[in-house]
Amino acid sequence: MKQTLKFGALIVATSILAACGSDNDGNVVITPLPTPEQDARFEVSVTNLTNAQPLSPVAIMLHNAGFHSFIDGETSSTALELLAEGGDNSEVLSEARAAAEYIASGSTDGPVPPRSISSAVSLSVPSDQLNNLHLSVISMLVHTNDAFTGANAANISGMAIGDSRTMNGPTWDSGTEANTETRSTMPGPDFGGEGFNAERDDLVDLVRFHQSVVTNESSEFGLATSDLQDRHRFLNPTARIVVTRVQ
Amino acid sequence: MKKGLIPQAVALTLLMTGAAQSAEITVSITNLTQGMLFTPRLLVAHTGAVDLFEPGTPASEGLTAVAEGGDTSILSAALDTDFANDQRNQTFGGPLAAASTSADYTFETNDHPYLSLVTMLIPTNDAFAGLDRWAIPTTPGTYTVTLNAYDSGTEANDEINSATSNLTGPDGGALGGVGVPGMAAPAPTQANLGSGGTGVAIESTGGILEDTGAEGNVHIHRNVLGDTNPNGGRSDLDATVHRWLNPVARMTITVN
Repeated sequence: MKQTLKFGALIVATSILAACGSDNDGNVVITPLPTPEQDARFEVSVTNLTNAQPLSPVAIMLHNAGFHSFIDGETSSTALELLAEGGDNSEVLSEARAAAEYIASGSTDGPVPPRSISSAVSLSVPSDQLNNLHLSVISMLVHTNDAFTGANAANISGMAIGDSRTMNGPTWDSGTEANTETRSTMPGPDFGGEGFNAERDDLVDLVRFHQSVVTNESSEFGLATSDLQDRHRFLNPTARIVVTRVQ
Repeated sequence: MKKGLIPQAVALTLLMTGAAQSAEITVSITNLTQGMLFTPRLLVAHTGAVDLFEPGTPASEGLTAVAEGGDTSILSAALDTDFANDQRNQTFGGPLAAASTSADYTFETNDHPYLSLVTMLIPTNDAFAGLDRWAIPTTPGTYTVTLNAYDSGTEANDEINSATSNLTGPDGGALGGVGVPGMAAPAPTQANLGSGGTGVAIESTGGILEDTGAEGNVHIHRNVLGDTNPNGGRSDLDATVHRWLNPVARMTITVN
């Protein structure tokens, strides 16, 4: 919550310096500042491009370069596993908030239904943080074992007021749960099965791109034990992310 | 090397004697698939006249050898003997496992403006990941680009494991090589491969897999099918392991 300190701190800076510790700028701010620069504000919306995969409440994070919620080819954190298997974004967001590179974060109000656009999530960014600004977005494809979509530390530095950027989200597999596609292992309105389970039983315990779901639709080339149907299939991209600087 | 160097020409000639045709980049590649191995990567820096592959046109003999067998030597030699078109090529690394990132390759581009890369996806009949004539930025920095999977169009996608199949090629010959049916499938990829399949895009008759059904031109690969029968069915690939969605690879390129 750096940005709120920026204004409040002028008055109480001396009294909280001992507790705050790291804010050494306080001792030079004696004379009135020129009009403080207004924070920038960004709005992020997410379009669910799939046919029948709800997107779990979307974690949206702004941060400096160097922070990643995950890295392709490496093992998933437990925080990401919670999101990718059960749609719970709370640990991913708190992991981001704890990072030195953290700037701001938010979540959509709820899931984003298939074939729909989320409401915009508004995020404030101190004006001195605009030149190393990165966006991470993560959301589960709910009718899967452990698929998620989003953006991984996309560079959105240097956006002017009114600028808008659109990016397509591919689909990852967190590597934390076997893609059995069975009813009891997939959450969401169609199945209501188990979400998070700490056991790791996937092909390899590494984050990679998802191969899509096999489904039970083909007797020759399908997965007979799958409870997924034709309508649950997807191709990349599965999400469209639009970020707009509104202030 | 004339462009942009002129203002600093004096200082640079002193500092960079003999480096007038030189530009070094660093390249790494991430295999984003969950079940495909990448063969050694052929990286080429070249002029606009060089084209490793062009969707909608037939694959060269060299590209065919890459896509069907992971062999970069024919394409490399063809590039080296084509004196009309200036380029520099080098093959990097060994097999790159699924869901992993390669080491950093330091590559001398000889200041050519374009970068291309090809690497075969194993086990497949003739799938390759390709970077097609990417303009190398002149501004120093780190860039990422994603690669799609292409089908060279030179071999039918029978999805037959040449290492275990009882089938033979048209004249009783072995499967799996360049120019014959069957997937090249070396040891590291055997773990999840089945056997006993009868063929997907083409099917065997009388224990023989006829060499027919190649699609003809380079195109975006339509993906493999696989099945869930490890000892029979149509495909020796596993539907829950070997499929992919594009993109299949990410390259990170640092321009110094």
